[in-house]
Amino acid sequence: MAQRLSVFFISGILIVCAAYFIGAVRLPFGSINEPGPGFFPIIIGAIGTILSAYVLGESIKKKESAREGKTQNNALLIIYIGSLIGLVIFFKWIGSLCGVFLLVLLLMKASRLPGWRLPVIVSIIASSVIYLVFGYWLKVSLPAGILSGLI
Amino acid sequence: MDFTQNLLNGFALAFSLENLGICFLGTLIGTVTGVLPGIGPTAAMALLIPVSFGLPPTASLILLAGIYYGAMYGGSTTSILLNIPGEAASVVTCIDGYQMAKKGKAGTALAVAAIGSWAAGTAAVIGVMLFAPPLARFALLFGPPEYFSIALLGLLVLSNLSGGSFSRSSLAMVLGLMLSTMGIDLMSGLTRFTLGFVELSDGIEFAPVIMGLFGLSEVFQVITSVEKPSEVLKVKFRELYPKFRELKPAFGAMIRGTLIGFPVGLLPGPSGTLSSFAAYRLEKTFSKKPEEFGTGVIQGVAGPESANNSATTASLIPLFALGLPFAPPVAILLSGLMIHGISPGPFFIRDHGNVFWTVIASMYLGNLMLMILNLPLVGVFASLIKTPPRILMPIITALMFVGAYSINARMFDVVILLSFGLFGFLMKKCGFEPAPLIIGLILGKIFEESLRQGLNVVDGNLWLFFSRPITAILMCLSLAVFLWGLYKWHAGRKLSRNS
Repeated sequence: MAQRLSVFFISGILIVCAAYFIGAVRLPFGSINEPGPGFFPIIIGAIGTILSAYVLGESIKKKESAREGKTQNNALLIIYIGSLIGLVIFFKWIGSLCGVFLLVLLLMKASRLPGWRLPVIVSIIASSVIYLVFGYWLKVSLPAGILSGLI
Repeated sequence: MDFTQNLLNGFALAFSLENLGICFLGTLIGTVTGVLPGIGPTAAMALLIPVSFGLPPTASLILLAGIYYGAMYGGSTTSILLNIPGEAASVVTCIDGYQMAKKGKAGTALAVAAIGSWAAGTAAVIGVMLFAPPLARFALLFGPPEYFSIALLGLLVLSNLSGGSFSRSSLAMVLGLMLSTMGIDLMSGLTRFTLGFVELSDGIEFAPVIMGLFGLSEVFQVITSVEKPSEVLKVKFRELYPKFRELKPAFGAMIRGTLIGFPVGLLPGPSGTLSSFAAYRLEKTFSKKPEEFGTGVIQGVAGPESANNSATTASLIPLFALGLPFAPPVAILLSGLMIHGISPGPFFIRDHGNVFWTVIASMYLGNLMLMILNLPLVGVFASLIKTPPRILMPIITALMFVGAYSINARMFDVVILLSFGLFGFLMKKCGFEPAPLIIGLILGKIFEESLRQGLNVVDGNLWLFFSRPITAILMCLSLAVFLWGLYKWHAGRKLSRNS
């Protein structure tokens, strides 16, 4: 599983490098005394493609394993990523104060923090402090969302 | 205005209530992040970049620099009390520091680490003050070929020293260079590699990339690996004041550590870590009883701790004088300044003298604050390690989400944060270090522009690069570093084939 991840990841990098190189070739190369916008990308695109192919070969040949943590908790990682994507989609609608509150609460409960009182208190404090720092102190225009009439 | 006048002006500005508060906040956050394993200074600085947007440029730099050198102080606390280095530069401190703690001398070790860090940090600030302005004046003579060769040497040294294999580090660096080419090419006006996103026409934003690679990826790393809470050795307040006879052998080590750390800090790479290893080696070599090292020798704490603080401060010289960041945290300082429309480099000290001298003055104050903070509050900082990740990580994640959004008040930057968070996590899982990618991204623009302008200057004749003395020396060094990397790679292959 771990080796497959490594091979899969490096293959992805190889595809990106190759696509970059193809994109770079389409840019004007210029000449050696007057290099164009494609000059540098072609060089690094070629180096990147060759290097990633080499690293991929090395990884397959050595049957190398990806770094393992002490205990893997991939379900929690999926919850983290899923909730972040969810917040990206609904952030404007839900607003920053409610959004951060729900995100912190959800992630703490997903991490199996026992009880409700502590997670709720921490979530309220975290969302309020973040809102005060960014919204009031730094004057960032954070979306008010469903609380638009209140804040 | 002369040197003393500049420094006094700097102190006058640094003593303003806002700058003092920001300096205290930076050093406090730095100490806390140094204490907490997993969240290093780079991640903490990346996390606070959005906060620094809303501050004036001087305060923003004071905050980020405070986190950077503050983390070096905090890192030693957990090394001594728990045998867990808070950040990479404190790995060596574990060897003798923890042994001293086990013998009941934790207070002495912590005090020596704090005093050594303060002395070395302060001495190195004097070095920055003395060397950065003349170097910046000298750098005014540099043309594109010189900048190209400095950037090339920096990239090659970093791909060799940043840990992981040479091929993987080089690949990460090339990926960073590729990312740096996104957006409008300033020399031709052509748009490159924007994938149709208007948001990328000014190039990829550094802050969410750094936050993702160093911050969010660390969060993912922490939540996927469950570790047992550590036992903290208790330290009594009165133990923190060592006797003079205990301190005496440490003084020499502090001076040697400071002296070795300073030049190492000027080199590209993880200078804090390298200097602490070099200082430990030096202490062991010159000791009359080298066999005692590893059993709790005070020089084994004083030397490395002084060296890493000296190196950390010295690494600001290439940034202030040349505009070149040779380490990821320094790259974050650079992006923090660029956000305010300030480009460090030869003109920085001349055009933004107030910023430079106020930051220098704040570093004297910050080092003093750190020593005062670290001695009596050591127990409080050490107990922070008990904070459960399941409370800390959700808060950090939310902070990063809002922080990334606040850069341009758009969701695109959050998507970049998330993408690079996941990418950084996978990189670490597959044996890649994210540091070369960041350095490639930050140095990429300078590298490409100086290469193209340089080729223009020498009319396409690359050999003419070698006719300029500085360029010739740096190019030869780059070649040597490249060949060394190839040799190491070849030797590694041979070894693995034989085994």
